[in-house]
Amino acid sequence: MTAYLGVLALTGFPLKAQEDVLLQAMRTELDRSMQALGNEEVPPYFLSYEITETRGFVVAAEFGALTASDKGHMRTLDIDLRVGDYELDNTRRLRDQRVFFRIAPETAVQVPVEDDANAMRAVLWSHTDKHYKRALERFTRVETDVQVKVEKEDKAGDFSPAPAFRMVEAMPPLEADLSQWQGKVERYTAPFAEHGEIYDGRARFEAAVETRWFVNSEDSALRSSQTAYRLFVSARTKADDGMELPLYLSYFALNPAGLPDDRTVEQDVAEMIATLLALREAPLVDPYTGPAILAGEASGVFFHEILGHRVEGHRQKSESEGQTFRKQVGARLLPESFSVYFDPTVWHYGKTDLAGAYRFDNEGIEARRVTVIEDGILRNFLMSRSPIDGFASSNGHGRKEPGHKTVSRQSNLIVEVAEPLSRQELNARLVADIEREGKPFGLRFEQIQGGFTTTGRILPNSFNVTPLVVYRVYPDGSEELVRGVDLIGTPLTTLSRVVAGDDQVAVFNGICGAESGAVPVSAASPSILVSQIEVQKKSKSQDRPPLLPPPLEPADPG
Amino acid sequence: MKMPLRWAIFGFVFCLSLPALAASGEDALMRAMRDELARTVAELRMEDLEAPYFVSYTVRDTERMGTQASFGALLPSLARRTRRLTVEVRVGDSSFDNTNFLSLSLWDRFSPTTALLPLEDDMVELRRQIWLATDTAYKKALESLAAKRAAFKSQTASEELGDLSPAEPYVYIEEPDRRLPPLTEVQSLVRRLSGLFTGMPHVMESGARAAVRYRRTYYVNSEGSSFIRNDPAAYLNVVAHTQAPDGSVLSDFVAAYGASWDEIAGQEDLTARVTAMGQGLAARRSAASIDNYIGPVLFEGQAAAELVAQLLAPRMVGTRAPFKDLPPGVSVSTGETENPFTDKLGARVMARGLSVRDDATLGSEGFLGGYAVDDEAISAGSTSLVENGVLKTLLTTRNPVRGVNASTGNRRGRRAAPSNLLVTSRRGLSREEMLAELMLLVEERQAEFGVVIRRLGNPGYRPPPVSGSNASGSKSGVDDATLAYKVYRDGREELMQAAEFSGIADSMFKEIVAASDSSTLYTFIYPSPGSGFQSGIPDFWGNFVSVSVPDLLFDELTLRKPSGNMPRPPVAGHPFFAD
Repeated sequence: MTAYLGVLALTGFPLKAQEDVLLQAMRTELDRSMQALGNEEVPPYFLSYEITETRGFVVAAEFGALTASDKGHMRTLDIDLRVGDYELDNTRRLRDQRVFFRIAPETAVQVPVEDDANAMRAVLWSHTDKHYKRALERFTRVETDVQVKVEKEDKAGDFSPAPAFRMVEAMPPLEADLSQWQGKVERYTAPFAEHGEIYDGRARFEAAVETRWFVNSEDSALRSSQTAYRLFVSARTKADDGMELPLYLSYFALNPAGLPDDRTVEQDVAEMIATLLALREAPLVDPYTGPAILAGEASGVFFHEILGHRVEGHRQKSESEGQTFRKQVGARLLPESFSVYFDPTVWHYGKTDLAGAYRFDNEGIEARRVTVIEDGILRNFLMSRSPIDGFASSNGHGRKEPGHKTVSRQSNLIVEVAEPLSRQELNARLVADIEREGKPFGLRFEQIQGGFTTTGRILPNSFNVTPLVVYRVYPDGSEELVRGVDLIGTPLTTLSRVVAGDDQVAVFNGICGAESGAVPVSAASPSILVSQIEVQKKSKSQDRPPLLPPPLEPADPG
Repeated sequence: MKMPLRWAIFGFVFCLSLPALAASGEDALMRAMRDELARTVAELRMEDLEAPYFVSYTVRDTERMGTQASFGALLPSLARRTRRLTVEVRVGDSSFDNTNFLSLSLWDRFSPTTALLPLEDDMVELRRQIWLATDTAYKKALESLAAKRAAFKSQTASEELGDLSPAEPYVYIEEPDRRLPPLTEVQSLVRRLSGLFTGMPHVMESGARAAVRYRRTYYVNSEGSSFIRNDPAAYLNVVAHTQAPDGSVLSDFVAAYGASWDEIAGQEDLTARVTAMGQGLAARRSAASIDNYIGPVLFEGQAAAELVAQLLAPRMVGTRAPFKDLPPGVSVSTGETENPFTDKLGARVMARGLSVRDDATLGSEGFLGGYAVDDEAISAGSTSLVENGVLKTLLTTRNPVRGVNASTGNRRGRRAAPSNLLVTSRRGLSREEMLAELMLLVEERQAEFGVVIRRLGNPGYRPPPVSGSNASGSKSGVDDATLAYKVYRDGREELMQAAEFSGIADSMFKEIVAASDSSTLYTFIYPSPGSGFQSGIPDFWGNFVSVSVPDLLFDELTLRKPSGNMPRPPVAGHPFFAD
């Protein structure tokens, strides 16, 4: 772990916060606001400020030519102001409110990027006042809602008390060189230009230092800073029947040295091109149910979508949520050999850096490991400071993108198998299952793009993940690349059909989007065997491939 | 700014009518556009379906920077270069093609086809993106035309207009003239101006913003027209608002525009203007509100210009809603609002003696709305819109509108927009005579006072909505008066806090009883769909339009205290001044 990750002061006095201009300005204005608003008829009982700063740059190229090169430095402010009390406050969701009106009116407020205490306090003052007036209005509606609606199933309050934390962390420098990365993204995407069938071939590199300043009326004062370097390569071709065929490569590291070298990326791009061209010729698969292996990153994405989103605590609370696992605590969801935990305190898995790591969540709660499934049994949920029956306090998973309302979100999802099979043994189990069930073939999913999952009550509580690279596995062990399927199902049934995992753990680093915005997450999982999965036909574009051939050569200047 | 009207003609750097000659010496971007256009015109056709009859490519190669500051400290800035391609492909013929049609099933086909091009002059990669976008646009056009033909079999359009008016090929090439300041220079000025508010305890929120752009617009079409045009622009604005003791939100702004940053930074009176704005806000906090007022109103200076900008300018533009094939009960807005003046061609729309002209050839002496060639390669010209009060024509693109079949050369972005609008009076009065006319009207009514308005708010600079308030925004189509005075019969003036217009009608310009002999030259941003703020960083959201307007005296208008709920003033005082 590099020096900048070291914690300078963790709890206790004297506070280094006093040396930070922003923290000091935030604390002064917060105290002044609480005092002034405390004299009002309905005073706030809680107030927090969070300022998020992002410094960095983005470079992008397509087919070997630069398309973007931008530096950025911005700071945004989020305010959480609550009137009422921990049991009932202005943030409670109004029942039967239509989704359109439920969207929080909050937007990220831009604040000065210079450490000017007077300017910062002026912004804090003006927006605190606006938040207070909004909170008053909303609290009146909440109180009426409680009176006129039936008693809600979950009796937990709206906000859980939490201890104060104080920490000031050093701010790391940005270590990447913009002009060097301009050359790299051009080089990585140049090979796509040699193939007229590839219509989209791009790379994007982002280097960012994110620093968060947080203070609240419970005396927390935090400054936390971390780096992220992301390289994303994507390419797309089209089959003759119009089906879009995308592939991507995603790399993440906490410092540039952790990213793969040029040779590795170029080899990955070459493999990607070969797979894209092979996919154009690959046969389509009809709807099918049968055994399958989810290999590598595909397995991590599978757990993220199917399990991870359903153990987010706030989904057990909302009356509009499906609450798949609410009554399943203590019940078996996976084989006894499987455990699943979320751990934002680990920064690496093996040699791979993890994107879902952090020290404090967006509610100023210290990150901690949460074992959700222990020996196959559901034990816990991911909790923000919004309590649910039986889970009274936060476990450091209140997360959000600036400008959004915090809810419980995933961090680093890690799947462990107690007695893993080897890769060969897992493949042999798949072949045995195919033969036993008399299926003509099984499936092996190598790459999954992501997907979506519905957790509400109005639509079926199901998932749909989008495989990019899928193989048919025949009883004789041979494999054939295929295309055109989505992996679908319902969570409880599908999880109950996970039967084994191997000893080859792969890590997926990505950005997860949900109601509290986009947050970085990781999923580390071995390949798994599922006794029965279901695939359906993928929706496809009806547009034909381009009519004219690509302009591969410059026109004759004459 | 008051100034006598003087016209200047754009200095055309290079203007030819032979496409072949213009092609020599062009840069890689233009060559790539021409090469791909030639291939498209010669080869692009889907089996038995129609080939395109018209293709155009527009590339906006833009370097822009934007910055903002509040209370003396910088907020996020942006410096970025983009090359955005817009492809237009038409199938059918000019009397009936794939455009001017909207179907719910083809909703995604309605927006223009765009793509971002590489920033480097890599011919192959430039052509690759143009090729892909053209293919997409052609397929969209074929689908739209088929759906439009089907819709016309069961329905008839209320009016039969063609879809593309004819135009002569035109070629124009302007030499590059890149002038961009260092971002730090722009930041320094907005920081300094925003810092002036540390000396204004009564101002609650304030901010300064600036954006500077250097753009080269490249255009080529299948009729032989092409151009390369420089579109530089820069603006700076400072906004502030406060609340009166009764909660009324009072706001004002200072704005400066130029074709380059130097034109703005060189304005020595910016500090004085910001200071005066602050003083105006302070004075208005303790000023009395106006009760319901019906009577004569004199618009002076900026107020007359803003009135024309907000009410008259949009009515000088021909609009045409697309033919819609929608299920019963379904309504979809495309942003095209019907201009009520469309039905008034040949009728009187303003007082006798008043005329209005749009002149895109004006490019100096403070006029910022001019250009040499519009976005469809139509040579810029001067269009007489209103003559002696009678509406003669409307500003148009090559999309015909009712009563106007040819382009007036006013395509700016996706639609028609004014360039420089000049309102002139056959018999102008001096300032003293205008005031005397106002007093005559007051006496006729045996009223106690008349009203002079010297500043109006602008929709682009309204304060953010405050919780508990529904008072911001315009309810009449014109923003509130921010500097309005009661003028008593003895000549005494009394400042009013604010005044809102009520009952503004399209016929109001017929109620003008006098206009001054001098005019105010004033620039504003005419909103253009598709442009807007990105990530909250200052950017350009439309085209500069300059207006030259005399002071205007109206026989009768209705003013009242701004309506709506007033938010409570802040609970705590401003931290800087409270400390």
